[in-house]
Amino acid sequence: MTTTVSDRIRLRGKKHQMLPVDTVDLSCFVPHNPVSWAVCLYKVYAGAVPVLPTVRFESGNFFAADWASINKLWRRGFYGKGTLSRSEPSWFNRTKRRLRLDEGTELSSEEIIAQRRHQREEFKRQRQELDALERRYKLEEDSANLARVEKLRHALTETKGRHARSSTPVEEVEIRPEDDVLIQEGKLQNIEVLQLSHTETLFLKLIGCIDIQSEDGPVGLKTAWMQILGLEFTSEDSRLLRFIAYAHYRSLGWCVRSGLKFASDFLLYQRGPPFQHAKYTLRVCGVKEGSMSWIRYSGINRVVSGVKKTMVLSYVTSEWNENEFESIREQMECCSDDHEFALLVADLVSHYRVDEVVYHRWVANRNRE
Amino acid sequence: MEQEEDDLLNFDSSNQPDDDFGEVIQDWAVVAQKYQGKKRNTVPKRGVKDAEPLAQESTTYDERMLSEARNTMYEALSKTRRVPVPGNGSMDPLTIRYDRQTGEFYMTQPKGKFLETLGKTDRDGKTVWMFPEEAVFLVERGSCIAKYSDDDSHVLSLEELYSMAFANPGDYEKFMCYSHLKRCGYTIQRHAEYDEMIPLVTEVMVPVLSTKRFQLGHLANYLTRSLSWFRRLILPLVDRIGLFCFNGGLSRYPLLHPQHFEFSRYFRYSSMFSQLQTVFLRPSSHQEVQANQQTKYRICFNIWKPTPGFRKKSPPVPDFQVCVIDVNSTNFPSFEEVRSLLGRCDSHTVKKVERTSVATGPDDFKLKYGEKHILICIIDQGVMNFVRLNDSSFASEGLIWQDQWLQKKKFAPRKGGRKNRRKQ
Repeated sequence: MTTTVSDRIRLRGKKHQMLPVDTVDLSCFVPHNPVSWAVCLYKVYAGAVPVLPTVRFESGNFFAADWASINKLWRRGFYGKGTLSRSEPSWFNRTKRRLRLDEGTELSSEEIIAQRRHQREEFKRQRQELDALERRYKLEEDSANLARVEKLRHALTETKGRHARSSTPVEEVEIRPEDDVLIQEGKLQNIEVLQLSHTETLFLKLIGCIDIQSEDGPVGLKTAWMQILGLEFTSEDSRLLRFIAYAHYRSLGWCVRSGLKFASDFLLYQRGPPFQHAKYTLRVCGVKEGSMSWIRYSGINRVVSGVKKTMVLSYVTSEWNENEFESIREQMECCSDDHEFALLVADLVSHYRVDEVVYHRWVANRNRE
Repeated sequence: MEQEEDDLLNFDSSNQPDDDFGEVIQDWAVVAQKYQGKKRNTVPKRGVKDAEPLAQESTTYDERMLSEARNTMYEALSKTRRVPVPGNGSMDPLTIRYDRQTGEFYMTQPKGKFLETLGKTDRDGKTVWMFPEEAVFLVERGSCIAKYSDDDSHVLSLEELYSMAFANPGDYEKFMCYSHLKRCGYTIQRHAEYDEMIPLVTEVMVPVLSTKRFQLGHLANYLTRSLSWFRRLILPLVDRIGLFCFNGGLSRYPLLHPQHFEFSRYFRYSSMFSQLQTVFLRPSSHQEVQANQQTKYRICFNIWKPTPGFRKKSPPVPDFQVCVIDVNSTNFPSFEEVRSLLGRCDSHTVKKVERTSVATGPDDFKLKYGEKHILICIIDQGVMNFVRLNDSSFASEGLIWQDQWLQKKKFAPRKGGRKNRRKQ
């Protein structure tokens, strides 16, 4: 997502954390004011009151449906994806604007992109016109007019992308057949949910940052694990390796999101999608799986370098003797307590190592100096 | 002469926006301009394609453009090319000898500028021994001719030369890589692994983990920027105590307990992360790698960027090292193979811009290009492509999250890091 400078400032103005839990805020501390000491002491004593985001579990999907949870999961670490949006759940605001229910809201990334596409089309149309003119003058051997066209073309390319903000296309209010159902009691209903990927759910549940609720009541860590990985996994299970890589980079403070669009497993953002583009894509590789052909890798690299990212091969390696792995797995099967289960998972994870190898295409003519 | 050729090559490459080489249409205007003695100061930009005729039947405009282009070509061709061709009287041909018994290439009475980087000179300086690829390259280029050592009458054809020089499978691919890089202006020599053993065990450097490098510059920066410096000193202390009493060993609800965050006291997100890292951070621990002697990944050539004053007797540390493999018979290397290759190679990444001490955030150059790198030349039936693999360690860059992102001064540009990046 390309954002203009003003977008970035707007987004940076909001607080974005990396974990959906709170810290105790001691910013009220003033060294020379004893009252503030007392306030701080009380805050430390009381702790941050955690309101964990609630995640619903229905038919194999984990998603957050209420606003508070959605906001928390998105703003604090950019977890999940809006089911009706590209990534940030913005359907509600977009629909509001489409129906002219609220003029004040800011443009969402989808709308900014639509605007940009519109401008690009306009540019192409103008360029086509100039091309037609040029052809005519060439046939007429009219060199004076040809020079003029060349000047016009130059001016057109110069101004390309200049007025990115100003030309908001003014559209008619567009009423669609489904709008009757969407508006109830004069208010727009939010029908969008934030869907969490399995890896995200597992990570958040493991560190105790979300509550999972299903129709039959709360879902514990073990149940979630059973739903996602089952208990028949092997030590080289690709889902397990991906989870380990995910947790590794998350614990380093990177914002890790799905890299499906770039033929990779994950994208690494330094702060998050609103702030800058991801610079790295990760491909999680097990060691024992047969290595792929060069053609596959160079194909992936073409996609990745086409969007100016760096392709990182993340090798998750392990040294197990068979019995050890089996015994942990059996303990996990028998275990009923969530905390014990989490410790077993930690034990499992501790047998793995994550290494990186970076893949670049190299061109002789460009590396001489 | 060599300079001239290089110039031309340079020219072609700068003309292309994409990486693909060899598919450029010759622009005769460029050549003509070159031989007219005009000095080129700027790299010409690629213009709009103008090759298509305007209409089915010929138009005056098309006719004129065509004849103009044709005249430029004739003009360019009419100039004398200053490339000496051996044997046509203007120059004595240099002769490379091929010994049929030993299968070695050598040159007696050595002369020529190319010997600065090529071949191995005897102690007395009278004979230069050459590897097959070097000999073939010189003959193919037209700098030399080749003859048998015991038969002066017969000049070897390229076909004969090829059949003698590239006896082993894979030799021709290696020659392709060699001659391509050579023509691009690099200095290139055989690496010991070309036809010898690979050292058995290689030590692999393990990157040093640093959660946060303490620097005096950081501290000074910290103090001068912060208005309430006292709070900054107190907060980490409180944080430590909090970690110890509420979140760590003394707590009834340690990390990974479902109620952990309910009863924990964290004052900064970075301390949350450092807790998470105790469980989830899995940095590398490999120390040494056993080299597999059967591996197809052998370092074939050392490569240097064109540098004046290169001495082939005591070459500096190579800028690159390359393995040549055939795509159809070789898969992407396994992790162990990559580790072993990176352990064996000794070309280090040279950093162009030093980071200033003020810069915060990860060192992107280090993450991207690592400390060591290896080139792999992959060849598919004559089509060549280079891949560069290098090590990297995200764990050694420490925590990416910065607590100051949450501070109130959000509109000010982030200190240092941004400015620094722009410079690069």
